[in-house]
Amino acid sequence: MSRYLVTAPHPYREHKPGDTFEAELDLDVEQRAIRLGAIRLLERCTTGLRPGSWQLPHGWIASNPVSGREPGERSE
Amino acid sequence: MGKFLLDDCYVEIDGHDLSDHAFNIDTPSTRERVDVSGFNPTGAKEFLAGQKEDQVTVQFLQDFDTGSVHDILSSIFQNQATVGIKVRPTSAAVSAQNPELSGNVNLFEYNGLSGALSQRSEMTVTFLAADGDGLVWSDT
Repeated sequence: MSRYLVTAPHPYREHKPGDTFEAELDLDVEQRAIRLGAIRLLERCTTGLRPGSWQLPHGWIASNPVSGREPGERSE
Repeated sequence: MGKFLLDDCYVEIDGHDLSDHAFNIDTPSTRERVDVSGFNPTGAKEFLAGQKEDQVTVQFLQDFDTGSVHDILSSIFQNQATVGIKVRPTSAAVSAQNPELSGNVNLFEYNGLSGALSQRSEMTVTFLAADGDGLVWSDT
């Protein structure tokens, strides 16, 4: 998923000029649209968790002793 | 919807809304007519419907501005790109009264400039369905 700005004078994928939208465009579709000046890539959104960006609920590890691992710690 | 005038047809090519440059549209689907006639006393031929071919023909007012008709269509043609197309009777959302014809298409011919003295610059392109899904009418 990525975020785009419509820079064309006409709507792009039913988004008006000046609008931003999120979509998962095929790479060739995206490149063609960017080359034609129809859209500008604002942000490449990738799924996943950045280390340190999350934590388990307080007391979760104590109440789930099977794992016993810290958040983000890999299993053996 | 009832009877209506084709004033607000929606034409989207490869994501680009080119409705305001289009002024004529045709969406024929044809099936091969396969002759399966055999000997018979009436002399009548017998046919079966064969494979389907879907196409969309659009007439555009040519525009050489960056990112406009010529830029978009010539790019599709030059790059032999397979692109999405969407056509609806009006620009309103898809519904049972405003169904959408959509699918992936190719452009096998492109004639960027043709016309006569002092006439508006028009051009015609025909998009042919590019895959086995063909072009499909949908109301959702």
